[in-house]
Amino acid sequence: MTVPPVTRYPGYDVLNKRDTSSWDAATRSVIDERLATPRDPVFLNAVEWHALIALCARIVPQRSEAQPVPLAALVDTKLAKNRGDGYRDARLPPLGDAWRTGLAALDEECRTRYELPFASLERAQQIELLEAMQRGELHCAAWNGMPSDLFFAERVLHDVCGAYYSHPQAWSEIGFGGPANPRGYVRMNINRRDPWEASEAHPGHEEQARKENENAR
Amino acid sequence: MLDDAQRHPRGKNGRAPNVFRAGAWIPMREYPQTEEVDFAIVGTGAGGGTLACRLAEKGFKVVAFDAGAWWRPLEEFASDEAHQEKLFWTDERICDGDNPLKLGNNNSGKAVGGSTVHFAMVSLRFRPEWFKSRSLLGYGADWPLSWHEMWRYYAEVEEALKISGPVNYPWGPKRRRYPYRAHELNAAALVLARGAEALGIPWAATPLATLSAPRGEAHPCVYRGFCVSGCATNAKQSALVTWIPRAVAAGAEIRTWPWSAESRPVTRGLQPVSSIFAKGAGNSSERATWWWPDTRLKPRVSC
Repeated sequence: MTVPPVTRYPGYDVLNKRDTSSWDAATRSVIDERLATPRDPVFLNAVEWHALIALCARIVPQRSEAQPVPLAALVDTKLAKNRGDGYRDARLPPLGDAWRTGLAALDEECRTRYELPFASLERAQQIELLEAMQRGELHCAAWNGMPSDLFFAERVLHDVCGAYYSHPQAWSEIGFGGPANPRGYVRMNINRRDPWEASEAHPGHEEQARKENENAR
Repeated sequence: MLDDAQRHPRGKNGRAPNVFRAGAWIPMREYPQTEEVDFAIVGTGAGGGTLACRLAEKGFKVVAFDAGAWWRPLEEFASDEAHQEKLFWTDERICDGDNPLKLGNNNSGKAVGGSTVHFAMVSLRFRPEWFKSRSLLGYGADWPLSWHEMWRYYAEVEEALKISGPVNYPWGPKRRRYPYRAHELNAAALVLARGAEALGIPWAATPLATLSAPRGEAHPCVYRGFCVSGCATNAKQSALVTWIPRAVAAGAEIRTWPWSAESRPVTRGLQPVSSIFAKGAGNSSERATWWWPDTRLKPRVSC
């Protein structure tokens, strides 16, 4: 597992467009609320919370120099609001139960092997455990019959990655234009960029991209 | 604030939201408790919304019900995928069996206008052979009607929704040009077109249910890219901004019932999409009676 590369869109910050015609009032209030997500858990208890923080750090490694996206807090908010998908594999319990069971089982697997909770393991040990989870090889009683590979694919990846890409910081990182009402976009053709779109840095032209991105608003 | 429509039913007291103007209302007929109507329609999406409109325009008394909210797109649709999940039917459905389906959370809608509020607007006609796909192609099912029968309805709907499409459509039986011009092709489409030309394959812009020119109070699509999260400009020709306003203008009543834990509509055994119950329709013995809480209308239905 490697840390993602430095963004190909230097200086691009989707939030610079907050007060432009790319954002409407409804969008501003929704994103303001997301950015103000409480940093303390509402749904999970302290033990589950520590496991979730450690799990999120392994699923979406974030560059240390950047302010990290509060992944665990976003996932906890989703659980607290019971924002389901509308469908559920019968082998998984409902959203909140699946997470509580999965986090408890992950800790239990770690204690059996290392006498430590997941959050206290070395990075390499954590990764090894998660790979076993992904392969469906974890079966301790704490799983309550929930297949670990299904939990990994349907809950861990789905909810943690979904949380990451719901955050404006992730949009800036991948050069996503973000909210676009009422202005939308004008230039549809290849390599034609509206001035409020992210500019991708090409080798030797990073400064030009940075300048364009500072004006992308 | 942005979920107000999910907390308070809006189609009541003789008025309904005017989806084309912020904060505005349109008058809506309201049938009294004692008045018998001709049709009660469950669901106001592609099927139910269209039917409500056409039946009301033919002079029938129509009440249509929807479990979702009557949104005001101009004010209440954010440019945000996660928030706009409010348009989806996210009540839990269990997927079981040897190969459990992954539905996707935008599988069906829960709003006045149903899933047309968040569908991707692709508006193709079935090709003739697909009406007999089991016999001719060996998969799917044969439809109980022929393409000849459907052809004029396609034309009618394409006109009603001002579908934007190419002047020449290279496949299927001859057809008139689409009501509105095709949208500008984006970069990915241009690459695909180039590839098709290199291989000698005909291509055409996809017919879409979003405006390429002004229509009434809606301006053309601005290419926001949030189509499947709900159109905040009304360019998308969903039932919410087409059939429903027409239905209301023609005298149909649309009743919304935001669901909550305390007040769950009694719809056991019913699919919330386009089920239609006509007075005097089922002549088999009636096995179930249901009603919608807080309504004065109690249609008896067979199910």
